[in-house]
Amino acid sequence: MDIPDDFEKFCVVFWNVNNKDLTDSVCALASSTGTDALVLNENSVSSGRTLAALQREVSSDFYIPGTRSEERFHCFCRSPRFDMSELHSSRRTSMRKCEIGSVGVLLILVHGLDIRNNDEQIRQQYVHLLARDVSSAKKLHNTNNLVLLGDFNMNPYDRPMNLAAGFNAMMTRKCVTPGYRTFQDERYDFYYNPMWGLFGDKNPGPAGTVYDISNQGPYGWSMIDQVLIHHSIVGLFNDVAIVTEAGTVSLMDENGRPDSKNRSDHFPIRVTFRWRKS
Amino acid sequence: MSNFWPTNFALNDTESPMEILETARKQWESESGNNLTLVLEPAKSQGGYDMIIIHARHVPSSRTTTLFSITHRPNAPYPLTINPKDDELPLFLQRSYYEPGSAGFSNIKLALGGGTPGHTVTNEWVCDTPGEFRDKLATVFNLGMVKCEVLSLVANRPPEQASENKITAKKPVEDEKSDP
Repeated sequence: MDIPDDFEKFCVVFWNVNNKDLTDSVCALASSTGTDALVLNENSVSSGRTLAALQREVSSDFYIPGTRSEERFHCFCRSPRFDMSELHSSRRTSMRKCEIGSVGVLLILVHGLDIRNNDEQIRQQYVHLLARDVSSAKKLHNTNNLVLLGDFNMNPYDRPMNLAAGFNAMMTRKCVTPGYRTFQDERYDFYYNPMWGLFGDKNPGPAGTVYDISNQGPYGWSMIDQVLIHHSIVGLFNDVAIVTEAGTVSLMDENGRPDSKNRSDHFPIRVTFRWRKS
Repeated sequence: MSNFWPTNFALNDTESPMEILETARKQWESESGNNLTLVLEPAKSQGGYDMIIIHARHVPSSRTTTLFSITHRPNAPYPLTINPKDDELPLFLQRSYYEPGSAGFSNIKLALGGGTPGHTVTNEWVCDTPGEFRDKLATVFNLGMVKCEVLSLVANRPPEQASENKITAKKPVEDEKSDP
């Protein structure tokens, strides 16, 4: 979705690079998407080496925002005005302070338990713990302006993603306008999950971010890389896209699936926020 | 003459876990020159028990880290248990750890259908009284993992430097040749 001239934007790209050295593709992706922030998950290349390549190949403005948990998420930012420094972390999350226009947002990077080694119940239990972490983060940093971004290792339709005590993430913008729902006398805030809009054949891009027809991926396509937006800041959200090209480099194989042989078994996702220029 | 009065038992000591933790919070603020504080967050466990999650906050930067939690039954603050954070350290960095024994004949016998022998599990972090909670709270604050978390929290570069001076926000670039 194009950004009108009287709006500014903040673009963040998330990519699980599957423990491969994809530095060339990463640089091409940062360049072609014009991203303001780049988050790599499962990056086997040191963050310092990736930063050097980004500074050399894309822009000398790239830097690594302050962090205490570099192993799981490698985060690179192009402008200090977006901040992106880490405020809190746990084993599989990193919570970043993010300035989107005049709005302070807590960007929570997530890496869910993997499907191969953890059954559904374990992953469901993990989501409840993660939801509690998110609830803590809201209280600790006194904000409802949350964005969750990452490899959730779940689909938007998996129960923990939409249970009230899980992520409570709904399919459309309109679904989240009531703000919350009540379960057992507790209020649970709604999140908007725009990934629902990217499923299936009626979209121009791929139908998911990973493709798997083994017994872990019964639907073929899965949408396990996702972004969730708290209902209070849905107005900042512009769009999300599954990225299949990094400049001239295709991230797809000949069947239009992630080129897991030469690139990653995940497609990146690009999320854009926008706000009117002051 | 026999002593029927319970040991370490004081009727005038009825402080709740939250009150004791508030005392700890004030001490942390005082000892750190108001650079550190504890954030005490009431929560519910998955099993429906009451919890208090204890976080440390580096006040100048607002960075936070979770230290540990306590759990008790609803409306019954004692006994409680302290849940230290899993330290995630590799074994060679742990001061002590449990090494399971090798399988001897008795274990093979068990494996062939003898069942599992009963054994007592001791939970060293259960506290029955306020006094015991105070003692163990002091112990958990002295765990290596808690000290590491707090030092790491304080040592991190304050986020405001990132917006004031981009150069200081940059991480030194590694020499590519030094990468294995």
